[in-house]
Amino acid sequence: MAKIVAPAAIRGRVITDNLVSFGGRSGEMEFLSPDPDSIIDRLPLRNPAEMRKLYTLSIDDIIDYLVELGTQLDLSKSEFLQEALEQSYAATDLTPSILRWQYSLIPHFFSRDMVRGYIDVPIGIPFVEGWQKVKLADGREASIRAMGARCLHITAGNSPITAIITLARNALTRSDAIIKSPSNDPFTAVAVARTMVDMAPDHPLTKHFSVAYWKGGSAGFEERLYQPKNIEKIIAWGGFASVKHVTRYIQPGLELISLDPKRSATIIGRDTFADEATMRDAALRAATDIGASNQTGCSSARVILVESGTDDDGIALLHRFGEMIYAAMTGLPDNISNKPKSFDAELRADIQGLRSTPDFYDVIGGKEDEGAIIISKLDDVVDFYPRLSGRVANLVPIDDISEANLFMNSYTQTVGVYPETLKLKLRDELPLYGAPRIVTLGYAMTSNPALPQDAIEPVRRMVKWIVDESCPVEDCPPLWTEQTAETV
Amino acid sequence: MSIAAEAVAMANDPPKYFDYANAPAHQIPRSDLDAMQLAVLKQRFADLKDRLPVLTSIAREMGIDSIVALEDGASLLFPHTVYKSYPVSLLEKNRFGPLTKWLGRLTTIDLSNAEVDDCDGIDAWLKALEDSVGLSVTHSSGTSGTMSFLPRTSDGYRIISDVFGMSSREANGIENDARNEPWHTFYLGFKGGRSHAGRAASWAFNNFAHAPEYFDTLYDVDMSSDVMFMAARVRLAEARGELDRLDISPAMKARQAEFEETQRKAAEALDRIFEKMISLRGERVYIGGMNGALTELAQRGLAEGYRDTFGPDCIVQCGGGTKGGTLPDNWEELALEFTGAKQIAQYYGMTEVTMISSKCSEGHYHVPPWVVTYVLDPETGAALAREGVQTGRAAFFDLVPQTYWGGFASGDEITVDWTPCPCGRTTDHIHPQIQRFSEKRGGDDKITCAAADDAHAAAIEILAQG
Repeated sequence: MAKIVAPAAIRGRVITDNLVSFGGRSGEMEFLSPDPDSIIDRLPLRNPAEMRKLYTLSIDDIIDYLVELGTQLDLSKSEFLQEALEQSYAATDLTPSILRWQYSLIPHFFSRDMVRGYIDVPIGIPFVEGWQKVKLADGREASIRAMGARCLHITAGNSPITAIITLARNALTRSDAIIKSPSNDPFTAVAVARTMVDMAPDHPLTKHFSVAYWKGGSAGFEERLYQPKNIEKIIAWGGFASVKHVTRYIQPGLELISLDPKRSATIIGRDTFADEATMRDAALRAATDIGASNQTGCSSARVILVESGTDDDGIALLHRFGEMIYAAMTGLPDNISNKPKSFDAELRADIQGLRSTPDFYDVIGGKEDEGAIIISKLDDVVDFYPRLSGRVANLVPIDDISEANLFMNSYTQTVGVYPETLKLKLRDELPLYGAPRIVTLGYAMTSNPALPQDAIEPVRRMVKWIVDESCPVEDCPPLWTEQTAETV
Repeated sequence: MSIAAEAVAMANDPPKYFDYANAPAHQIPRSDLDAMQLAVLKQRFADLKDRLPVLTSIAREMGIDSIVALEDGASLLFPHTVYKSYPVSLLEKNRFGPLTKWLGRLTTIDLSNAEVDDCDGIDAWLKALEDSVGLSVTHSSGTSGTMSFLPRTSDGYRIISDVFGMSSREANGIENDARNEPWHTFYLGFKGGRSHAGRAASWAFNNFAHAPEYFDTLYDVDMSSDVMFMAARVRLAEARGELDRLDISPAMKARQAEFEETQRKAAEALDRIFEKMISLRGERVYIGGMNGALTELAQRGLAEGYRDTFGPDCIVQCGGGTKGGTLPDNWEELALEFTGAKQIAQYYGMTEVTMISSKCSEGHYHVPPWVVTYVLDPETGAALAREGVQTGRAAFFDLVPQTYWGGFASGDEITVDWTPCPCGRTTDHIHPQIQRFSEKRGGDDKITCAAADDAHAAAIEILAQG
């Protein structure tokens, strides 16, 4: 059988020669891609002055380009996307119906208002469009502008949307991007790049978007590429090992913007149990946060802290709530969630272990690897909580909402909260421990790239902040006069 | 004797049955062996199915009420996680009452009268179980931050110790009738302890030293289970970014000076052991324990011109553990050159199974007749046919235990060969490439059994930080 090819796309050219074989992440799939050593000289932007052309475009030109690209990336019309989707089934951890649905969302992320938000919310369009004057107390007047940088993006493969967000942020900041595709999604970014080449081969935005695959951790290759003469910033998403690995290349002149591996949690307040309907509403929302994209996201719910109380009545209530969540989770629409593609055998053994311990745990479901709800009967998270996956969540009873803080740490990302009013109480407290994102329950797995992410604003970090300072002698006492020296 | 009675006699006390010699254990024809194993499996299940709540529920779920074939055992394996399925906070908070109740579901020994309420740590808890109800728990080294507790009896340890003797005598060419002769024994580790590694010191004592005057250890105390647990928690907390949440109990803080003293004495002990080794030049010695300490001794000895110190009869069986530093690649060569030993024998076994297998001439680990081997599909957990060569999750039915369930699915990936081994043994054998699934997944940071020394140093460091 002919092997699948993931071409590279470099500065408006699609490259399919010097193919070598790579193994997919799960060991199931092999694909061909250009030998990284054969393209390494073409990947980086050697002459930064070429980025000047990006400044011939207004922000409206850039938005027009992205909106047009979005219409081309309609799954029902784009052959590139259709092909990438078919090829991705073997590489991804997602099931086909979920991946297909995520692909179908791509045009939504390129709609005009969405795209404008990606730049206007975090930075403000005037700062990328020109020089913004600021008058300061010491008499000087500064002009500030956010300008593009040469960036390498190590994107995550758990959702194809990662590549889409990266492309949009790169264009809107007038930056130069090299995307290193992940082995669990080597096809999406290059399909987008091919669409751009088809649509506008000589457009500056097309020329400043490159995609290639190499095996993460290829030391010799990465050492040559990851140099301040080639790139100024590395934006690394995802896994602990990959982020940790990249830190070895960080040096003066080469900055790391780390979107670290994270885990997410959920906090359910006592008022949830006021009546049956409220409880069911919360259960459906919690099930959505657990089940969406089959719990592959860093913002997927895994540990759920419930203010049910820890006495016998509280545990009975928690169990009933767990059953509601399980029923809701297994009933989610097929494009959102379904039986996971694979199940971690070690996690299965861990769950089996808990089944033998009815004094401390109940396990609802999980017999068919379809997902499970683990009920802790003590206020204790299961020790293997970092490995919760495949739609397995741990419900933990607490007596008072303040105890939820104990379960937050610097690796915590999203915290889904119910009921809504509880957020106001928690949002000043949780961030002290970690937890940079607090969101309405049921919406953990939806996102808007205009907002801060992992406690930073990636777009503000991606640009270079340039300042032109004007210091009129009459307003700013000069250093060289005696008068100043005396004052000091 | 009927084959069933014969088989049960073998399983109840394998060393006695085989007269403490390993070779005959591996000469039983395969068809007889299958029949013997099946007979014991039937009896163990009949004895225990209504007395071990965890087994009762698994058997009910699988719809099994009697054993018909050896393959049935594969449906009744306890996952390795069963022995650590307690909430770890119970250990952290010294709540030994609920922990004892949890353990009670895994053994037929009645723990309801165990006096554990006043225990202020794991050492105290396990001692209380020993003193009040005669249960000798062994625990894992804290792989992944949680300790497994296996409810063995003291008789179970006597058998393991004898099994170790059988294997090591065979691996090192020692005649069976010389088994009670004393060897000068250097055990480069703790004098004892309740972990598998801690208990290994006593095996060396029982099988080689036989008397205190022939026994030298690096540490003159037992390895504390509390220290091992704390070290495991520290590593886990570090990996999870939760070091600031780590709560060190006052009981542990109170023991800081004691631990520091232990560490200081070990440094002196290395000098003392070196001197004693040199004084025993040309004598028959046995060296066991951590290869890190052995490497230090060897480097020092070679630097001072000591080569082939004890001659080819000496036995060296060290493993694991780097003593906080990195082991030189050629540590084995250094050790052999310094001691004069012909080899450093390697063994395969695990805390939960009565098995310590040495390599045969073909480099395979043979499974003894009192252990039934299963290989499980790593993804689905289904048992693969017990024939030919199979790779997957290692699972065993240990036929020896009578008070807890011997069926056990491990976290190891192994290749088992049921075809005849050219070495002539009749038993099935395991190929030397063995790895843990959790490591294969790039998973947890395993503290190996012989790395007890590292754990001790790490724990002291944390205590010193206050």
